[in-house]
Amino acid sequence: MRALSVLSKVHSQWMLMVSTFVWASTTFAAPLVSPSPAEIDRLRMYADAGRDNTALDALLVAARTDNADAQRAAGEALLNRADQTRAAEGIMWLERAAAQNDTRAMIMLGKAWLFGLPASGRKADANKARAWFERAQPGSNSHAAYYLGIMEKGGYGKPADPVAAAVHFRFAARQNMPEAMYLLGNAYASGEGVDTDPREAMRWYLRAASLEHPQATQELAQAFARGDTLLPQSDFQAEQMRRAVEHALRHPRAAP
Amino acid sequence: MINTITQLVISALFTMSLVGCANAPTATNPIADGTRADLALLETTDLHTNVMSYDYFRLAEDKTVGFERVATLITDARKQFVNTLLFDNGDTIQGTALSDYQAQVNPLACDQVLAMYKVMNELKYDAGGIGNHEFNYGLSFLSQVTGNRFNVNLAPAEKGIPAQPCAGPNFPLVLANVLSVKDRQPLFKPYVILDRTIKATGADGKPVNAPIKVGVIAFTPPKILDWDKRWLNGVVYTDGVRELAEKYVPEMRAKGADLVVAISHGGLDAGPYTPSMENANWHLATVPGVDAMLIGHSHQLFPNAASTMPQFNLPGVDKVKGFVNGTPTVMANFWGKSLGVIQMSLVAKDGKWSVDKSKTIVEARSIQNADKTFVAPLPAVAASIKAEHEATIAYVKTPIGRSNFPMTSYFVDVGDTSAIQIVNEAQANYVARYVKANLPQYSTLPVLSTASPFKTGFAGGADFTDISAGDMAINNAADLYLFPNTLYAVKVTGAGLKDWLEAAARRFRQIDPTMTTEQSLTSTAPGYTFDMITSRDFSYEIDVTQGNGNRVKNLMHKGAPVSPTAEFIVATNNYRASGGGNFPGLDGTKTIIASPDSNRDVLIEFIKATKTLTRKEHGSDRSWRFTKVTTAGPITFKSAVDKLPLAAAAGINNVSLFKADDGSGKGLSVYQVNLSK
Repeated sequence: MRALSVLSKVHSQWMLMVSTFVWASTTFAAPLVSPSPAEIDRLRMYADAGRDNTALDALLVAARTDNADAQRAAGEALLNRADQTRAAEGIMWLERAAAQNDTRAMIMLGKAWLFGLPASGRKADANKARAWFERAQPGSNSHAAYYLGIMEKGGYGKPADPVAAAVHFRFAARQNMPEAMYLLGNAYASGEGVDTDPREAMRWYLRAASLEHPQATQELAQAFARGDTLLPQSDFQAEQMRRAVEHALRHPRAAP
Repeated sequence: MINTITQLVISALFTMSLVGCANAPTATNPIADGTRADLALLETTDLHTNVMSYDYFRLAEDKTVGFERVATLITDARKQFVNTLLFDNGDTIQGTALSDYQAQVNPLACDQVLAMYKVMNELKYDAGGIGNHEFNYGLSFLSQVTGNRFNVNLAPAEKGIPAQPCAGPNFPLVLANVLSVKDRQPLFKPYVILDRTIKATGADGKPVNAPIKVGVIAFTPPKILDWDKRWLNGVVYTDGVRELAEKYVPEMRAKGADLVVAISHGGLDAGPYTPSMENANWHLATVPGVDAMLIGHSHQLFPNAASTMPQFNLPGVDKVKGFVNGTPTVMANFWGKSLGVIQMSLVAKDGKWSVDKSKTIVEARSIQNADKTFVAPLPAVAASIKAEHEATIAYVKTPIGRSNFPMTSYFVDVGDTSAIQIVNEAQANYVARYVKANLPQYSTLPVLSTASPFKTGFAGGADFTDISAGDMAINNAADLYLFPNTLYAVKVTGAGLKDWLEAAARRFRQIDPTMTTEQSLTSTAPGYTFDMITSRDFSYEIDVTQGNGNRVKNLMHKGAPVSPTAEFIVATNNYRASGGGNFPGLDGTKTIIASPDSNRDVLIEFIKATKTLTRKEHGSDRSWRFTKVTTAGPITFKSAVDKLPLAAAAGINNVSLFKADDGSGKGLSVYQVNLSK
């Protein structure tokens, strides 16, 4: 029976949930199942890219049971529908997940306020963004640290604090986040918030490039082209790095 | 919704009926217990259409890559091992000028087989997977060249699905985890079961032929939906690798598969499993019934005892012997540099083959020999695609346009924009069209562009951009745009734009006008950080007598001063928009367009459309000038020897030769610029 795969298990759960949902709207009965995070992620894939409203409804049923994973997943899928009403509903679900201390939902909300959210008609608001990133515990969450680093570096909402920015970038870089490694490298290259140290900069670029970070790989290409204390001049290596940039740019990592 | 539910019920019943079959005896010929056989699985991955050991941009041989050499390794392996199966992991049909030629320049006819598949047919592949790059040219192209008719509602920019299946590879391509939004079915066959006869040794020691069924399933990274959004958004979706393996592996077993090989285009990630993760193979390896994994995507070698890659230094990963959570696994590098080999020893029991795991050997063989030489190419490969190879070389050399002026960077630091303006025009043109079509909320904002010179003599007199007047070819575009960056656009304020130009002006040293001795104009900031605008609508001055941050003056747009709060859209590249060069505010938060198109391709398309480039129209706009100042001593900069006539032709009339030989022995002269002119 093991072969009655997870897929059909999820399918039957949807059917249960959907019927529960239709029924619940009049009887307030609690849904019968609580999907796992992986099952919720799968429903999200169906609901989002798959435009599968059955899956979206299943997510919403689970979201109404205060399942924070489902609330976040529903929020994300709704935001991506690029429709003002649905996007506003998406924000609401993210806020419900965040109210349950879901840090990933907090990061999504922080990003929505940092970048603005044209689909929902919301303009960027640095202070609200900062508040969400701070709530997401930048002392233990690399994404929160990375975005707070960006906000401190750029002086969004308050004067720039490059020292604080470097602290945040270092924390996220040590959690293996190539984007943070790159910006920490930039901090060492320019002496922003840390003492200027081109070799330390290059070391962080190397680490980020080993994770296929395109901009860091481009730094290596430029370093090889001109010759660097860590990377001796080599036209061949510079060309190899340019080709690595080309490849990395064809499938960039999703932004943190 | 009813229909969907009905479908789900049907699919659930279908799954159950197959499970029912699993308990029935299978119909294959029984193999006597104790029969033994050796089987080697061979893998290529990330070939990226490097059929020949050839670099189409340098128009020169490159022995370090090429299917024609890995083909020799395949031939050798078939001599060495009595039974082999050859698989490709994907990222196969995109990546060189040859692939661009067949996809975009001279699109392949329906009855023609893609050069890459043609040579793979020659080598008699048994099956292939699909990588993420297979989607780069869109679904109509992929549908055509793989001989499929995808049942999808294509994105508007697509050509169409062929009316009849077109010529494709003569081996099966499989892919389980990409499904059509239209019919909720997998785009490709999710798996195939290969029926083969292998040479074995009976329990009595005599040679026998024996049947074997090998199930092959394949996966691609779910992130294709982001990477090829323009083709895939709303058209296809992805499903979880582990869930599908848990569904299909028992199904393949039920259909009699003795072995199951998972071709998975991705690397390893031991983080918690999610169906949407990019590199799911660490988890895939734990699915019962997966006998071997052929992986790829990361352009790495596995096994590799020396690897420092985080993905190969995870718990459960044996980077020396090539096992992931107990499953033999190989990743054969990229561009035809290596061949992956998994040697398996099979023993028959109860009429079925099983693997004697203690005898499995995993290795990746390089086309480079221990003495640094390279294995010889297999001549049949080059012979098979001679016409396509030559047509690609001809295409790379084909004029895409003509200019009546040389485009050079010898005097770019003093205002010659002959190698910059065309780049800015192409970028601004692309962004303006994109905004009009896709971002109506920004349609009232002015669009401008910045670009910088890539070559400014760091390595000597030959290290400058120098494209002669006359015909321009594809490879000239690579000279104009050295890096394979992708086009980005950011939204900035007037204050942000000034900060940007200030950062670019770090290219210049602070000049003391009272000094009577020689002062160098340029600082150690590389030329590629000197972003500039070249538009008739913008003008600004750079006052080199001031310190960094206070040099950009009189920034004007259409004759009026730029307000710090005005908003602009600026075309640039991924590097600058995402923090490259550490420009203030350019930290990824201002990006409004992150195009998958490269700046270089945008440039090529613009030159093709413009056809004839004149200096007046396309090589003489300069938005910036030095603030005039009389200096007591000479202000100098270095450039290649004997280039003054180029400066004069570009209308730069304030430079003169200061020293014919700068003494570096690198072919450089010292020139003088008169900042009072």
